[in-house]
Amino acid sequence: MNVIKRFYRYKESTVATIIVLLVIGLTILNRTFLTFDNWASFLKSNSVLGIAALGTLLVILTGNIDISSSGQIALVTVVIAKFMLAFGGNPFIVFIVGLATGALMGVVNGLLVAKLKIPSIIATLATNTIINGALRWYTNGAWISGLPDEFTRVGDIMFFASSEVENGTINGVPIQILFMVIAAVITFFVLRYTMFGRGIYALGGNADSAQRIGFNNDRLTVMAFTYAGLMYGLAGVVYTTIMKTVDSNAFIGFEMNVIGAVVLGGVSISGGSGSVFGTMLGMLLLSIIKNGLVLTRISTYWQSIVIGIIILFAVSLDIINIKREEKRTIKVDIVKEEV
Amino acid sequence: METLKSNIQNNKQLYMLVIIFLALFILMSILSPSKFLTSNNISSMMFQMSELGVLAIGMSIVILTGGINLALSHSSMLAAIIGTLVMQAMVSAGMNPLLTILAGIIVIIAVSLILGAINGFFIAYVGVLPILVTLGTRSVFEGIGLNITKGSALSGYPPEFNFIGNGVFLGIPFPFLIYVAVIIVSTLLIQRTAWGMSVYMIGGNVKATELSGINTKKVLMGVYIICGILCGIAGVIMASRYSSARTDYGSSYVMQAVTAAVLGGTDINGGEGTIIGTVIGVAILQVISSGLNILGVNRNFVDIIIGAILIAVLTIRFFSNINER
Repeated sequence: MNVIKRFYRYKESTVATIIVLLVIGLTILNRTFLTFDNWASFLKSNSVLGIAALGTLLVILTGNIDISSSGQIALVTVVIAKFMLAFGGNPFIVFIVGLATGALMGVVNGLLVAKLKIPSIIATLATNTIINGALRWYTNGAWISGLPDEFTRVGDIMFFASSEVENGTINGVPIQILFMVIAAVITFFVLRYTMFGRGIYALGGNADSAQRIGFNNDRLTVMAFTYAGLMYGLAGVVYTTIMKTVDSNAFIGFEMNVIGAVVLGGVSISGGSGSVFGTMLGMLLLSIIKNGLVLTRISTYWQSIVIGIIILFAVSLDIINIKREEKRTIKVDIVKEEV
Repeated sequence: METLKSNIQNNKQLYMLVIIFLALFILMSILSPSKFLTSNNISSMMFQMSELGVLAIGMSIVILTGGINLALSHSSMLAAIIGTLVMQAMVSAGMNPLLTILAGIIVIIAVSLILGAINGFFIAYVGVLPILVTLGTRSVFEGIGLNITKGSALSGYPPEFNFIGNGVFLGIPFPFLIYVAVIIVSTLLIQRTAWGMSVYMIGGNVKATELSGINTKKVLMGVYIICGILCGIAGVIMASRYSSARTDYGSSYVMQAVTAAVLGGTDINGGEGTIIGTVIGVAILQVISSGLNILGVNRNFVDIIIGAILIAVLTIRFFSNINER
């Protein structure tokens, strides 16, 4: 009993429970769900969501919000595609270009929020509008294809693959999943063991206190947005390794999925609390729902209903738990006073 | 004294907005007098701004309480889709067209009222943040709409239904008349009643409002129900204008409504702003997009300019606030 109570003290446990129940249910309904190939395949396609969610996580932890993830990722994909067509596809250079583009956009967002005090939702709404307008203006909505083999080959790399690859099956860990895991591990260490990471939690928890301790709040905000930009840059490059063509319209509305993944992972939207682990669970939950609906042959139109209901359920449960906790603390106070 | 000062302050911002609007209007008229300043263009601008305007007013009332409604356009369209089903059924049963239209409008507004109440329930009574609730309901409403329409557009209204979105009454586009009525009613409600005052108070400080004896939950519920009704009105106009209903109609209006409200001086954190400010914000957006369109500027470039103007206005506001301090 105590163990269960302790387990549910973590905000991540709600989403973890839902995931376990879904995995059990889906495995009963369709045996192919719980296979290595299936997981490798759906995690590969959702690695973009996971990496982007890590970026948005940092921004949300500071108490801000970033709705420009979709625009930034789309911008990065177009920039690296055009870069490759002009200068060739050295994967290493492409990664640097992608990350730099994302980081640059992040700096712009960060400066708008930190220096001009524009509320983050408005600032990122504006930059997202500008980026999407510019992309559509520039590409005319056309796809960019014919990317150099040197780069697209990277997307097919498998790790721990067995020597015989059977036709159609994956048989190894796709490189995209590895990128997501590396990004998650780095973000975890940044948040837990660096001054920057601790500052982000402090800023999101209470901006005034953070300043009094000696954190430079403006710089932290700019850095958080920049880190988010870096992650969107990585997400853009990873997306291009999967699709091997670039469609600047592919990400319209994607920011809602990204925010959904972060929020499902128990991250407080008002900042200061949340974890990389939770965000990854949020991504996992969204991916399992999408994959599960396909495997159980339920119409994809149900996808948004199920995702929406789970978001409503998870956030309501959090609030109800917090309220119950508050009531309990108040009672304890009264008892103490009487004694 | 304080209120007088803030009154002047508010009006100063309003005057600035009117001046920006007039300046843009005159600029566009000078740049292309033969096309912009024609009754044809003015009336098409009136048609276009009505649906965004109604939605933007709904959004501003929500933002006044410190909230946001990401489910705005999807509420409109889910209601319109269900209303379309009812009208289709009545048309095929050979019922009186006027009765059919009336039933359709009532269903659309009733459904969107219920959708607003669902948002309101989670926000006011469960206590979840508006951005999270509407992120969830947006997804649910979209999904239900997709399930009904299977991703395509529903149509089949009585021909008279067209008038609401496309008709002209006394020389004025009919949807614009609806918009004007919405402006008047919502201005009176928000700025001239005690209830409206409590909406502002909630946006300023929920705890203090609650302690002052106002039932904040009830007020918040009311705000989201009113926003729902406005979504329904916009849904009727849109369904009639496009003579069909589809889940993704107007999905770009959500962010445009936020833009119009913020341009119009509404504080995104709540407690400050006016309906008329939002109306001018909508008008500014419309003049920019119609004007640039007439000048042959690429539609996507218009988005860039609107985004830039949003940043510019907020930057100017930031620096003018610094100067005042």
